[in-house]
Parts: sequence; structure tokens; C-alpha cells
Amino acid sequence: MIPLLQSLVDAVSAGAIYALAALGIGLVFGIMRLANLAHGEIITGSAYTLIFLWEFSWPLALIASAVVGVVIALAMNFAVFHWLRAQSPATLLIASFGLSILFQRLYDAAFGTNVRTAPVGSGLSQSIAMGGIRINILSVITIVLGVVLLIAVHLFLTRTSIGLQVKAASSDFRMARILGVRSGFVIAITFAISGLLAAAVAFALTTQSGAVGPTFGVQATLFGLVGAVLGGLSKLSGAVVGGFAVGVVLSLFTSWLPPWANDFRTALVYVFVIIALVVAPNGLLAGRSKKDRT
Amino acid sequence: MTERNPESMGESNRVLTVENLTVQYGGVPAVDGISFHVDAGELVGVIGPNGAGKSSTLLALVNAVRSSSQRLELSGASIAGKAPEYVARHGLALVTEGHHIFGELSVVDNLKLGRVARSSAAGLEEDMEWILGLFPILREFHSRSAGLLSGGQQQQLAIARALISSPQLLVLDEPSLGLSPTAVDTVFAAIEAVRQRGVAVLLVEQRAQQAVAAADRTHVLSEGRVTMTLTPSDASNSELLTKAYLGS
Repeated sequence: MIPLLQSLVDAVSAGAIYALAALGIGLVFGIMRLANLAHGEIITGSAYTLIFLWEFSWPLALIASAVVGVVIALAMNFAVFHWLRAQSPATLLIASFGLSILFQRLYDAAFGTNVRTAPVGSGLSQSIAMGGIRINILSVITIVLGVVLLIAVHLFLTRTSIGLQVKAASSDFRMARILGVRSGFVIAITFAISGLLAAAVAFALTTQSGAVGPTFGVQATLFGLVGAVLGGLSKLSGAVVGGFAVGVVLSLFTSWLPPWANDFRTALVYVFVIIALVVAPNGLLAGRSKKDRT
Repeated sequence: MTERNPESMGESNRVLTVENLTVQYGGVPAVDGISFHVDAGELVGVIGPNGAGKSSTLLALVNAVRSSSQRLELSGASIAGKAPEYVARHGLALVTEGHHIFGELSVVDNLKLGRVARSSAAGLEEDMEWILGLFPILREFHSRSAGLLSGGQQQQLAIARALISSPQLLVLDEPSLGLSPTAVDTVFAAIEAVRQRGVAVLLVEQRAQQAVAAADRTHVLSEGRVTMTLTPSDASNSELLTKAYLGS
């Protein structure tokens, strides 16, 4: 059963990545009713930063990629979403789709269509032997990173005044404002956190592949979004569990499916999601959803 | 919450000034040029049938609906067109109809949100003691999910949360709606205690008799206009109250 344990560690690690992606998307959705398709381009921006700076100085690369993630997320908010705040979720969704395409073209123009490479975290891609089985260090680090960030966001939302204001605004935007919650501020804070989470996803994915192209963040965002919908976008815990489930299933399919079926693993993930949504249309951990942004 | 002398009236004591306030929904006026004021330490009532424009008036005060007015001032400073959070941070606490507590948060976390609009932490503990004295049930259930409280308890929580912001003006939209008789008594007793403490109160109510009896004066709103202003001595005149509601 050695391969089973190894593939489980890999699966949990993949789950952690998509849980972080889903959390970043779910936070913004909670407060804005915006399913931000351009979340992937935040990931891509952070990933490019890692690639370009890694060999120069890895601590600088890590800090800079986090800063870039936060800056891109805030820029998207102030340049686009801030002005559309009172619009319907459909309008916001389409705007984010346009923004996503725009950023992909910008990356393409700036860095080329081909992938850029750097040995990001190359020291982490070794395996360590533990009692006869080999565990990938990178998988363990990804799991630790995911757990630490999930706990950090949880503590922020439940133990700090600003976090409480974010939760209140996510639950009932108008009432939160009537209580004095500064709407622009809590939205900006939420975007900043989603930018940080995107940078963490960028780090985990870049250490795996070492190569970044203009559409680097798209897949993680799609799976994160699908996971968030699967778990229930109206509840953050649902989004996290859903993102985790999608990552685990995707990873297990990759290791267990016979070679002839492996090309269909993404399609099979969607089949799994469709079945789950037919059974629980509002998400596996459905909460209530509402409200206008007035 | 500083003690104020309710006896000395006048412009300098004016907490809220509303002049010629109009709210329209799709060109139809819900509030049609009403004017009124609330002085420090006063309890001013607003009654009227459903659809008279009571809630729209209150939402207009915090700019949660679009409105126009000649004057909309809180303690002499204009709040016309200001964001709801600005108005809250400048001393107007609105408890909306249906109380709108955050059901998934604990009672304590709901109360903490009341501190957001508070200008200073000074005196917070005393205020908290006073507020929990008004609503002892909140102390008992402090760690419970607010959504699990009864309607009356949620209303108490909503009022308590508003009071923690240490407002100059507490605005209540039908606080007794859907409550049991005991809960109504608790709420009205709390409103009286708030006024005693020197906080001005603007009270919209369906319970006309109780509101008129409690308030220094009560404006009757009908089809978006103030049609009558009643004093506490009118509370026992049921004929007048019926007329106020049904129109002459």
C-alpha cells in the first residue's frame, strides 16, 4: 500500500492548492457577489514575479510575488469592480471575464507566448524516505502552507474587528454600512487577501512546474471556482471544502486511472462535479445566499 | 453617552433637522416633502398606515435610499448625500425594521459590530454595563448564535448593538413588530431608559397609542406627508388616533 499513501499525500497537497484558490474566490464572492474569473491572472502575475526574481534572490522573489498579487488584486478592484459594485452578479462576472482576457494579452505582449522558466523551489522537489515510503517534500510544504493560510484567514475573520466587519458585510452589505462599516475599505481588504492567497497558489504551482505562461493561472482558477460552487459559494467553509475535494479527486484520478483513461481525467472531474450538483444544487455545504450591494 | 438636559430646547440643541425631504421610487413619491426635527433628549414618534413612507424616511436619513431635501442635518452638520457609514459614524444609529442581526455570528460578535461607529473607546465599559442592564438576556446568551435567538431577543440585540455606537440619535423602525407582549414591554422600557439617559430617539411605530403616549410629539404620516402632530395627551383619544390612521 506504499503507492496509496504517496498518492494520498499528493492528493491532499493538490486539494490544499485548490482550497486556497477557492477561498480567494469565495472571499471576494461573499462580499461582492463577484465570481472573479480574473483571479487566475493574479496568480499568473505572482508566478511571473517568482520566475523572474527567483535566481536573483528567492526571499525577495517570495515577498515580491506576494506584493504583486495584492497590488494586482487591488488594481482590479479600484479600476473596474469598484465602479460596478451596485451591478448584478452577471455584469460583474462578464467584467471579470474581460479583465481576465485583457491581462492574458498584457502578459503575452510583455513576456511572450512561450513559457518562462526558473528552478523555483528546486530544492523542495526531492523526496524523503520515511519508514520505507518516499514522501515528496514539496507536497508536505504545500499542505503546511495551505493549512497555515486557512487558519490565518479563519483567525482574521473571527478574531479581528476588521475581519468581523468583512463577515458582516458579506452577510448583509447594507446593514453593515448602516452600522458604520466602511464599504470601500472592507472590499479592498478582501481583494488584498484574495491577492495574497493567489500568490500562495502561484508559489505552490510554480514550484511544481517551474514554467509560467500567460494562461498559467486559468486552470487553478477554474478548478477553484468549480470547487467553490461545488461546496457552496455562499459559505466560505463550503468553498474551501469544495476546492479541496476537486483537488483531491483530480490528483487521485491522475495517479489511479489507467493510462488510456488518464486523458479524460479533467472531464471526469467535471462529471463528478455535475453529479454532486444534481444531488445538492446549492453546494455540498449550502448556506443562504443574498443580497444587493446598495 | 453624555447626560443632556432635556429641558433646554432650541436650535443649538437640535440633533436632527429634516426639511422638505422627498423620496421617490420610479417617479412615484413615497415621501413627499416632509419636515420635522428632533432635539437632544427628545423622543419623537412617527406613526401611520403601511405604505405611508415611514421606513423610506428613515432609510433616507442614512442615504440607504435616494432622496432630496432642503436640509438634512445631524447636530448642525449636513448628512445629505453622505454614505450610510458616514452617517453612522457621526452619531445616527438606525435599527431597521426586521432587526437585521447577523444570524451566523454570536451575540457578542454582533455587539462588537456596534463599536465600529463609535468615535471613542472612552466609556465603553460603562455603556456596555448599562446596555446589558437594559437587556439582561444578551448577557446570558452572549456566546450563542444570534440566529438562534427569538424575535424579541433579536430585537433587543439590534437595539443594544445600535446603542453601543453611543449615538446622539437612536432611530427605531417598528421595534415592536411581531414581538410578544412581554417583549414589547421590554423594548418600550428600554426606549424610555435611553431617552432618560439623554439620547434623542426617533421612533416609528405601528402601535399608535403606545407611541403617542411615550413620545414628546408624534407625527402622523399619510401618503408621504405629515398630516397631523399629536401630543401625549392625545394617546387616550382613540377617535383621533383612528382618524389619524384612516384619514379624515
